[in-house]
Amino acid sequence: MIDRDVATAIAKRPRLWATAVGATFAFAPPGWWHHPPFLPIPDADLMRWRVTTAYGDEETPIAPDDVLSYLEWRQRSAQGK
Amino acid sequence: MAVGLLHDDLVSLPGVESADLDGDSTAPTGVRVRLAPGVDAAIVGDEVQRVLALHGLRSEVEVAPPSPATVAPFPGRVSDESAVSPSTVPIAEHDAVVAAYAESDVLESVSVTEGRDGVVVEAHAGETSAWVRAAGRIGPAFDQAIVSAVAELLGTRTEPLIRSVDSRDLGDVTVLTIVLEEAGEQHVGSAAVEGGRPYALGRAVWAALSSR
Repeated sequence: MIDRDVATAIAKRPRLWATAVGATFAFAPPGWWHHPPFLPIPDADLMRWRVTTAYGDEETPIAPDDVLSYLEWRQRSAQGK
Repeated sequence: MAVGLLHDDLVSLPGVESADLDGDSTAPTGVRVRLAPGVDAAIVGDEVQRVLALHGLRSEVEVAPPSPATVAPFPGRVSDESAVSPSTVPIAEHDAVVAAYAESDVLESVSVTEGRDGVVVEAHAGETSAWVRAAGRIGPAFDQAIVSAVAELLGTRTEPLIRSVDSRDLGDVTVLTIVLEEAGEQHVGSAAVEGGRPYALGRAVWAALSSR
């Protein structure tokens, strides 16, 4: 679901890298370190749910701008605390 | 039933002698209701729960045995599992007491932004906040975004689906009731529309998912 366009958009914005890493962990299933591949890969069901909520169906590719908006909001929220 | 002050609504119920609220009257941390002698405590307890739900409060109700019991402090936070167990207060013989607990971590706000990024729903509760893009400004897609945002605040990781959203005009106030289905279970929550519809819907979702 996170395709090359999204990855490229994030890669071009170093100030969002740390936030992106935090978001990746937030979307990873609980206890991801107990199961192969032992990486915080976003929970597929959770992502499907969020994509369906955002676009009306689970097939629509995630727009890079939406991911950037989310990361910027997440960064602002973290700075506001 | 029109929704008024929580205390007044509780004492107006048949079979309720008195009601005491702990903390803020709009967001109490505990509610104690003394029943009149001889009433069916289970039936009145259901009515009390209905009133609490109308006020957007989560509740756990216990009918205490008709004997004196020790006062236990009301919990400050229901997220603390040890604090959820119902407590009782000293009561006269043949009285029954209903102890109810309100959600102290209330849904603080639901905001909707429409702009270059489309429609975004933000929800806040305490230190937690959620950001969800909505597929539309109205209708089921928008409601689902509010459900998703509130569910995220509550740590839900499976998708609660909307089964129904009903709006009932009770004269002075409109009450929203939502039925959600999550992992084969149905959850119901209600809230009075006091500000905008998004916040009322968010509180109804909060009530529904908090009752799990």
